Amino acid sequence: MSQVTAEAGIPVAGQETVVATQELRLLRPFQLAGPFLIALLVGAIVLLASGRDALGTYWLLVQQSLGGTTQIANTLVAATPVLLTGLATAVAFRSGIFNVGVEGSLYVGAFTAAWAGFTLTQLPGPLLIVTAVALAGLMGAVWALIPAILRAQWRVDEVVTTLMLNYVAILLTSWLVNYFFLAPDIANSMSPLVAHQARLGPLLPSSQLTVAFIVALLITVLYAFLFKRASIGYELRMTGLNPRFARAVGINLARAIIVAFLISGLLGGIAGGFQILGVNYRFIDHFSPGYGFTGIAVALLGRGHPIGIVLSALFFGALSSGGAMIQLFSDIPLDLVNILQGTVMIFAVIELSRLPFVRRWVRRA
Amino acid sequence: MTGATNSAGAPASGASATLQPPRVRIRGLTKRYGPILANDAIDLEIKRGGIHAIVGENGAGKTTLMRALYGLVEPDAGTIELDGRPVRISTPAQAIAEGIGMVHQRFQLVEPLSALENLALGDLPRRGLFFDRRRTITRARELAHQLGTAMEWDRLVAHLTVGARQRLEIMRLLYREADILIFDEPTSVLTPHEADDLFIVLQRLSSQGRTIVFITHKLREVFAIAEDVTVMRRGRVVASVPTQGSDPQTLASLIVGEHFERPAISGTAHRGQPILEVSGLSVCDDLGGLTLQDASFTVHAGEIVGLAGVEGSGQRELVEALVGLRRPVTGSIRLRGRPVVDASVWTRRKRGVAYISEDRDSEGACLAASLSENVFSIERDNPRLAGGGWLNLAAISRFAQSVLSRFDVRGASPPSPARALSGGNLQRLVLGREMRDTPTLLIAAHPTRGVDVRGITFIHQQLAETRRSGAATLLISEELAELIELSDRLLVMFEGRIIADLAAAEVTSERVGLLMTGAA
Repeated sequence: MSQVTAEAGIPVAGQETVVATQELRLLRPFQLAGPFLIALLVGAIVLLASGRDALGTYWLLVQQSLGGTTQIANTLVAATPVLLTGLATAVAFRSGIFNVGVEGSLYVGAFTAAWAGFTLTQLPGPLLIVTAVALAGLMGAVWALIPAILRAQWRVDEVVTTLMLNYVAILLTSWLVNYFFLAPDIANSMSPLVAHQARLGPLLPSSQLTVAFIVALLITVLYAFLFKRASIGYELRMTGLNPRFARAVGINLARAIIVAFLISGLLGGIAGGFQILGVNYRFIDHFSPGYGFTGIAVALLGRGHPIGIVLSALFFGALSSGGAMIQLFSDIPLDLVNILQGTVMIFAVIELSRLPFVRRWVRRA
Repeated sequence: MTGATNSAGAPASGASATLQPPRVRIRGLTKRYGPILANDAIDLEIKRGGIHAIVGENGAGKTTLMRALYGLVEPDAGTIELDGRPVRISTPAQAIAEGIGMVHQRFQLVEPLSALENLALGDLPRRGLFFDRRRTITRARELAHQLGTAMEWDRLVAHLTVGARQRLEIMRLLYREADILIFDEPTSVLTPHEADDLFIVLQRLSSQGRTIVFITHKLREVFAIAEDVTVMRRGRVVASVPTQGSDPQTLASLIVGEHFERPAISGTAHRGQPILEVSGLSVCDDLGGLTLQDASFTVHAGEIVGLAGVEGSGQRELVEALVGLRRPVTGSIRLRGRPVVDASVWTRRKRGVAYISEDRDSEGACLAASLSENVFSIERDNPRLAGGGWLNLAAISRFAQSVLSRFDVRGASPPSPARALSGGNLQRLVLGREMRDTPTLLIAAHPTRGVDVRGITFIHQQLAETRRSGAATLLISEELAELIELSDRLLVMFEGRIIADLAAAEVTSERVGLLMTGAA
């Protein structure tokens, strides 16, 4: 076994660099933790430069996101939508499709769930909730079908179509709520509230933590099974890793592309549906602070790995819940939290293991 | 680098005017990758102005050694001397500064840029802020003249033939004033005709006093142009001799490390039913040009039909149309009498079509996927491996292991990624996947490309075995010798048409060579 692999695993100029396997194993923890550490470092520099106590601020951030039952519950609430959009994005990415349109599916799904919630009010609670979420997922998938067909049939670049369709979805739902489904007696652009029995009850008293978080975790398990054990997951993965190979062994690429988009849109729609039934109780024009886009960062940072996705969703959840709170207790602006998020996203995409000094460091270890 | 550097006793420059030190002297070069000793205390001398061949099996350490010389690999120990002067080369930039250049197997050209822009890339002549085109083109023409070849300097590299790209790579090295030129399997991507052109270029360079080192698998080439040959096996140099006074049989034995005799390909064809019937088939390439015109032929059970032709004569498009990867414009394809023109790749595979792609790394296998996943790819409907939409991972792994052992794939286990395999072993994996279950029709495109002597023999035996068990085989190859040895009939393509259908008895390499180039 030793004589044959000598020429493999060697860095080749201009090609993908291949590191020997035991080096990779050493690098993995660094690769995963690195983006967070570097982001914290950059954040600290920004804080120090503006004359603030960096460590104190971070401590406050930790306290406000993890320092008690309420804080943890808030973090989990904030993590729920980005966990779902992260999974939605990851399904597409692993299938080789750069779907940046989860935000659009989220809006369409959210509107659908709200509509079901204030229209099908005669249904009993559990049935109404299941119907609303199912319809939200369905409409999210239908929305994703547009770029899916364009890509599968005519090879239209999905980055352009999905990005643009986001605006279409946001403005379409805005038009629907403003012109047809405006709540009476309210100045803002909101739909009527969903029926009481359609609202998800809190798992913990005086928190917004609902069953949505549990369902999101269950969907993560399904995601893991999809790519590890399901036949269709195998086809999606091969399509993502090497489409020419996939075609030559007889995988139907058009079908794989459409399936990946449908699952992605379905999860995006469910994310929107849960946000309405669990948090907002109504559709609000332009309600999402970019859950779909944060999902891209979650998927990239988690490297498509289910546990990685959960951890990075929790991280972004903590940043957003902690960040919202530290504004109340200090003069630190929310912008700092956004800087942290942005830095993590940038360093998440960099493959730290390729940096020469990291390699040398690993070799010495 | 260990302390060996100053032990060389540095011959003073004037001391040995009569005994000139070699252009390149490598001493005790060692490189280890984890448990694998890729280069084990290599000593090698290359003389000035010569053509030096390095041969050995896949994984013998040839490429590692050359990469160390070019600064792409940092050796764990050992020294390199140029003209007796110890040097330290740890990056390609330093290698280039020392006059060492390398042409890689995969060309390092920027496809959307023109030939001229590629030539000057990395060392742009400037006038003020701008690219000095006039000065560059003058220099470019000089270089082409030196090489004795022509080049369309304004053409995009993407539109150049493989041979032209390679000449461009060589000129790029000369442009940067390289004097020692390293080639990693330069002919593996060339047609026989292009290879001959390359040999002329190499001899010209050598006569201009430049030193040529090239890695190859083909002993024929060693004896055609090299003056010296070094044989490597398992990370060591086992021989370094002048080619005069050696012979292919001796070298082959040195390469594999035992007395090696090519087993004869046994058996005659038992021609059976027609399996593949192609008639009036015309196919367009990606740019819409009609690359294959009105092809008609039949392949019967139990025979190997060879397809000869200069690269780009329409073979690739024909193969893709047969496999189902490309829609023909007109014509029909029948498999066992049933039309399959509209059938998907999967349907054709399930009717017994097996396909060995000429592009092993990007179409034949998925390098990023595991060996199991590569083997499983065409067994997705096998009820023992998958059922009810779910995979049986344990069964898939066992299944892959059985294919690996049967086809003697070495160097990795089912869960390792396919990129861990050397070229020859990867091809065994592809063969194992495609030929495990005797196919009805085997389409084998360049199955021995980039494979070492032992691997080639194995592949030939498998092809003969498949024929014996009654499969129809269409074999595409650029190796005329291989086609003539294996084929029962030979089709010759020229400019998109099948211009000859020869029985084995009528075939001579001269005749086929003339037909391939349109001269007959």
